[in-house]
Amino acid sequence: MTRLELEHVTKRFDGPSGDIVAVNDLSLEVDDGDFLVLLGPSGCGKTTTLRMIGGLEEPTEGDVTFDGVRVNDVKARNRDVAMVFQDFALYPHMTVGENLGFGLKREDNGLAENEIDERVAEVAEMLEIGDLLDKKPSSLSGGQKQRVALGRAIVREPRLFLFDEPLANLDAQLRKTMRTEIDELQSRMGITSAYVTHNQEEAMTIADEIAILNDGTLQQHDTPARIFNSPNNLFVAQFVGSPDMNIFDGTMTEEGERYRVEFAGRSFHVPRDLFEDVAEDVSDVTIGFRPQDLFREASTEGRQGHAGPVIDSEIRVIEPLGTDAIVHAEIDEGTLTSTLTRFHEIDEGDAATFTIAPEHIYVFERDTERLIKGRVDTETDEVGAVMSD
Amino acid sequence: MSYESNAHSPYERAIQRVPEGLRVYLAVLPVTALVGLFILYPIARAIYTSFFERSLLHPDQSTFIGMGNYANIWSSAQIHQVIVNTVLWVVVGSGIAIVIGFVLGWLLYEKLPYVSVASAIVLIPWVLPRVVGASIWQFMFSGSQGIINELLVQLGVVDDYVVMLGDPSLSLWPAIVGMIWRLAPLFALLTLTSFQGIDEHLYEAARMDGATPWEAFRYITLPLMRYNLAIGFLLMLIYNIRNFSMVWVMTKGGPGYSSTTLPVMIYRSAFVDFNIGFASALSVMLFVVLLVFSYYYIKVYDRVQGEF
Amino acid sequence: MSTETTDPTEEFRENQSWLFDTTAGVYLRKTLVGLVTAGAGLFVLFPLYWLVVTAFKTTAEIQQIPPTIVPQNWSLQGFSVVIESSIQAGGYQVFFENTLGVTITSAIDINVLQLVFNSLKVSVGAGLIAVAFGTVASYVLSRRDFRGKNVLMSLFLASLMFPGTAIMVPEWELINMLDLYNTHVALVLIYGAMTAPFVVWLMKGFFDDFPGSIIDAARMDQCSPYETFRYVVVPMARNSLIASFIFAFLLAWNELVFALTLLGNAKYTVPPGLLTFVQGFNTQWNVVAAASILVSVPVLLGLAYIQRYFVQGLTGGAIKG
Repeated sequence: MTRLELEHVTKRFDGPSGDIVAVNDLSLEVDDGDFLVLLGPSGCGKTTTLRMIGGLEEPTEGDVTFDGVRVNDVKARNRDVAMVFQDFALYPHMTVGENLGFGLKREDNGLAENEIDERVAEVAEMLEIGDLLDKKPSSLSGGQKQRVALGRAIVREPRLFLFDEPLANLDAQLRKTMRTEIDELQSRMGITSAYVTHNQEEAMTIADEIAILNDGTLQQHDTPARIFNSPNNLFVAQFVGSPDMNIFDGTMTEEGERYRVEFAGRSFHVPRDLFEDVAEDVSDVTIGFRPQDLFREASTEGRQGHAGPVIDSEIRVIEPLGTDAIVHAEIDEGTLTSTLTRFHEIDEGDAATFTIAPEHIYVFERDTERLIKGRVDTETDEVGAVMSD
Repeated sequence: MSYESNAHSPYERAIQRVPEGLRVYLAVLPVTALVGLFILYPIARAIYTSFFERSLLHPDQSTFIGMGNYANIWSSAQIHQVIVNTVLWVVVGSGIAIVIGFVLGWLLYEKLPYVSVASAIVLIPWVLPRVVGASIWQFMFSGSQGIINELLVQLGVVDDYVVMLGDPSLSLWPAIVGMIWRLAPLFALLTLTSFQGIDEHLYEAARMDGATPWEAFRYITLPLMRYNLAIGFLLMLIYNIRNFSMVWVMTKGGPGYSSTTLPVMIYRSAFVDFNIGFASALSVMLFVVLLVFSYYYIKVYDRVQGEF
Repeated sequence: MSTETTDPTEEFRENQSWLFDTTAGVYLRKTLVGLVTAGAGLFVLFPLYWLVVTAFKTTAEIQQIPPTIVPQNWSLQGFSVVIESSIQAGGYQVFFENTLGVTITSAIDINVLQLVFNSLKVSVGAGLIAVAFGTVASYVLSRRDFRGKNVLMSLFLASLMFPGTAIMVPEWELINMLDLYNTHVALVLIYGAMTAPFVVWLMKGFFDDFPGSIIDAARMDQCSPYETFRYVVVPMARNSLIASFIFAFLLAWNELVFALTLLGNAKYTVPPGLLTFVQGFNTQWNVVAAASILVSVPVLLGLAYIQRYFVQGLTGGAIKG
């Protein structure tokens, strides 16, 4: 099938005040059969990237290659790729069956009419839309439209699947079912896929690998686990994970085989080998930790296990989510966010003490926002080792 | 795997030979040429001819007389009557058509069932061939067989049948009534469409805010409809001032010049008196007025639509 | 509440409107609305009613004073005179006498059927030209940006305002210059030019709302631009295209000024022909009404279809329905 490569791809558009750089010097490789998710906030260039892969836009600079063949000047219709659009883009004047078969009929594939019908029926069966074949798109529900759009892509057995926020127009429940379904379909068919979304949770669930973009520039291209545990920079760290990461300014000093890290008036020690290439003179850092990693201590005294910082706070707001709750607590230097399961014992206004394991704390250089210490998964004792194959 | 082009059709291959930048102009060329030749050129041509003395009977003989035709218009005995008629025609005709049209549009929106059927019926006066509409009114206003005379007698407004179309002091008014009948439906449809374009929730919000129905109309409906109403107003003016058939069918502009409006005057000068130069000068007058209306139309249009 | 009112809902009765909240006001309002509805309805509908009943009266009843509101005896006399005079003017009376044994002697010979045929020819021609030229242009005007685009759009909008009476004299000169006087081709071209801007505006409105992702999907489905236009855009635009055609058709069908000034009697289309008919038969209004109804049939059929697009078409897309 197809190995997809982008080499130093740049895309500029004419804007009212000069050029707008939508994608800036982007290089990516996706191996045959892999599922790549392009993730980023709106306007980050992810959709433009997808459209360049599909041939709907031409790169200003750089190359797009399929299996090493440069396809920059190959038109969309000759690339043999299929795309699922956010608004489904079903042809309103054709029945579901005609929609599914349209691409096959256009193709020079030597398929007879009845062979096409057969393939359409097969795919319709697979997606459980067999009984909708004679209906027009306008009479379908959102979920059904989504399946037809998927079917239209699948039936052609293309070299590449492209998905442009395919779930954005569905309700929350459907979004969850469909994303599992898309994931399964893609694994079963083994067709290389690129999938655009701004939803980090969706990306984490569905992706083999994630490319995070911001302002047209690639921030990180990695497995979901590595994106989560060792984000390249503060942007990536803040973009993935929910609720938002706790961020504080801090300082760092070398003390023999370990570093002493200070923030919000607390200090703790981290072994030197958990850090990666720390520059000589770094002292100003940004400290981050995820709400899930923050937990409550019964009291400041008598704690055991790790040597993490201990933070006293006053609970402000508790947002119950069912089994757990998001708790916002106030300290002098700002607000702490944490997710707690045993939230029934506490009340708004109570004093609470939180702590966090030093392995779970992220440290970034403050000037460059570059990561110098990631989150170590305690079970494996190695950064990202759980997921990295 | 090869990626050769699959331009299947000969059309496409032909189009592909045209440079990219020129293709758009190629696409707009036919319309532009057609409009240019049959609408824009005649406008220029009329301005040119207005400076010549030229007869319809000998169109190849013409003498340059400068502003002579314009001077003749100024000094002509009928022009004052024609101007008065035209102003009455446009102001009274448009004014009443707008009021009736607005009320009709409101009724269609608010009170009448089966909106689409009802509005189709309301539109009939507008789409009927102009000659048909005009002849209905001619018949209704006719002296002895006219239903309107009968009505007026029954109501005691007049003692005996009046030949309105033949009375110089009355002859313009039946045509104005006919024109209102034809234009009001158009304004009604514009109004209906504007009403339909307003989000129902705004009215609900206004009710919650304590507005009476009248206040909701005054402070929500009207402001939201103002551009649409302006468009409708300008269309009324434009359709009215350029109308020819209503007057021509009903009275031919007579008796004398008593019901002659500017377009009818142009026709009479050119095709009855055979004076093309004079008629062209009159046409130029009409252009100026239409140009002003069109200018405002485009301005309002820009407001509504933003960029084209 | 401090006052001695016993009504506990009193405090909800502030901000009262007499017209809407009192019984008398409500009655007054309902009466007024009823009267206005009746008046407006009568004004719009009565002439149409009068046209229909007049067509079904006998000539004798037409000449009665005072006029009858409902025909005393419904008659097809008016229609039969129209048909007969058409047959006579068309020179078919011998044929009818021989085959059907019907003798036709009409006082006036105006061939209404020929008028209808001429008008059909002109209107269909103009409609096709306007739709073909207008659609191609509107597609480009909607999807591309190019130098002179706004000027062109304004020009088309302005040209909607001008046709007809304002340019009848120079148009006559132009048509003579092109040696097209007294030909239907002249009218086809002029009506085409008058309605093409309508089509441009109407179709541009359609293409502006056309979802770009559908075009992208077609490209992905291996369509060339021509195939995209042929298999996706045109079928989706079908309704708008038909509406555009009908708009152009109706304008051509109804237009009087150019037909009157650019054609001789023999080539007349419906409007000038009907005008002659009105003048020839204006003591027999039943005949005129019958002819009017016959020539209005295509218009009413067309109206049913384009109603949805009416406002958008008339205003050049300024107001969307």
